[in-house]
Amino acid sequence: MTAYINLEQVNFRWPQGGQVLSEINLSIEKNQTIALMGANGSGKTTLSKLILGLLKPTGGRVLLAGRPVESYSLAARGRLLGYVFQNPERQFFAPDVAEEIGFALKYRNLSPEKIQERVAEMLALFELEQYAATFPFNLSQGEKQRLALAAILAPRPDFIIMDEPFLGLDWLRKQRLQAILERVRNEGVGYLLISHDQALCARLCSQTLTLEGGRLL
Amino acid sequence: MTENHGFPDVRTLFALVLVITSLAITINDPLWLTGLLAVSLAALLAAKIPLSLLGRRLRRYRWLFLILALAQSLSNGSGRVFLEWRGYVLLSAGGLLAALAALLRITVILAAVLLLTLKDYQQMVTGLAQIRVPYELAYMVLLAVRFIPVLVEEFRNSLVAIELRGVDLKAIPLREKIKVYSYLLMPTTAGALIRSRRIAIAMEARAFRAYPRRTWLEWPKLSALDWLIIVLVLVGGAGILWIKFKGVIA
Repeated sequence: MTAYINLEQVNFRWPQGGQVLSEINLSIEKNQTIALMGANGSGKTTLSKLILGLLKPTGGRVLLAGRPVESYSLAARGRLLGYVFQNPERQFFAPDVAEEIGFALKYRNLSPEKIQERVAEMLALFELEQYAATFPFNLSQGEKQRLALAAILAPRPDFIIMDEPFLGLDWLRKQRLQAILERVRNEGVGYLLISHDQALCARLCSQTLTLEGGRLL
Repeated sequence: MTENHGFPDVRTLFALVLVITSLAITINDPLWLTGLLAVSLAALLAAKIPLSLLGRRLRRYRWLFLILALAQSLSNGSGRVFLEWRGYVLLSAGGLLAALAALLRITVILAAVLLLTLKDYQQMVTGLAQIRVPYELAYMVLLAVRFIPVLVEEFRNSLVAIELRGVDLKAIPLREKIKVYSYLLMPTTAGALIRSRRIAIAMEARAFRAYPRRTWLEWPKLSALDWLIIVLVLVGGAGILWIKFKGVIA
């Protein structure tokens, strides 16, 4: 049986640049928690975008739930995988925090009561209640990071890819985010965590992968 | 410094682009517009700018062209009528010529503007300052131009972010679609405002506008060939406009 996410002999090279990734073979189960580490520019974000089908491999193939990732529409991929961008601002578009969290829920046939309940739950979990009516761009970096995660977790995707979610968070917030991710893991939702924080990765993930010279170690 | 930084000077390009685009906007005759397109393409080839760049831009805006051409064709019912529905002229000779003129006009403008890619950002600012545009204004204009691709990129990013939340934009009803697209204006506008505020602070922190005058690292001189082209282009452009206003050209 194939894993939930499968990368087979994946290569990637930018049109006018050098080789970024070479012969990547990776299988991830739905409930697996994996950390992806590596130096700046080692191709961590590129790998995550290949999994999501935002970039096309120059060689090999990426399978999602047994099918080539490009055979899904972007929206279908978004329903299976949650993606937290490295720069959280890139994923905001709603006029306020509550709407940002509830946006995806409206397109999943949930009742207005259920949506409200889920939004309230996320606002409380990420300590964003007092900002419910705030314009997302006016939040601090740490608050933006929390909102990005809340918005992605609200529709409960099968698997989450997080690109440096701890960036810009203070010690206390890191601890709280760690607790949230532990809860996510205990609920059986897997994730791929891109981070430079070795200790946090070791605590939150069952396996750590390292990218070096375009290859997985 | 008053060195010559190679032909063509940025002011020569400004003159060319200004005259070609002004003529393209003013003239409606497809034959003259074709001539103008030939001049623009010749200028691109002479400047060694690959025509595939123009092709790529044309492909990117193909739907806009089609809509524009259709609108022009429908709004002009003169000449021989080819298609009519309940008394409304849908396709006529005049409409087809108007559509053709609209397409040629946009192609000419896109081709002419491509000439500016020969120069970098700093050379453009210097060029504007040399034609007596206040340097504050020159920087403002060029920052605005530089932001256009950034805004387009941000718009695309937001679109991807929306679809990644599981919203299939092709499948949702039109009313919902309009609502979702209206959402896209939010991050694009906010992002532009935030970025411009940051850039303004960064520039002022480096003493931008601290003094009424500024010195320039480079102040290129026009070569004889530059002068010749500028004069020819301005006189030629003025001549064509004169003929146009005499009613010889449509």
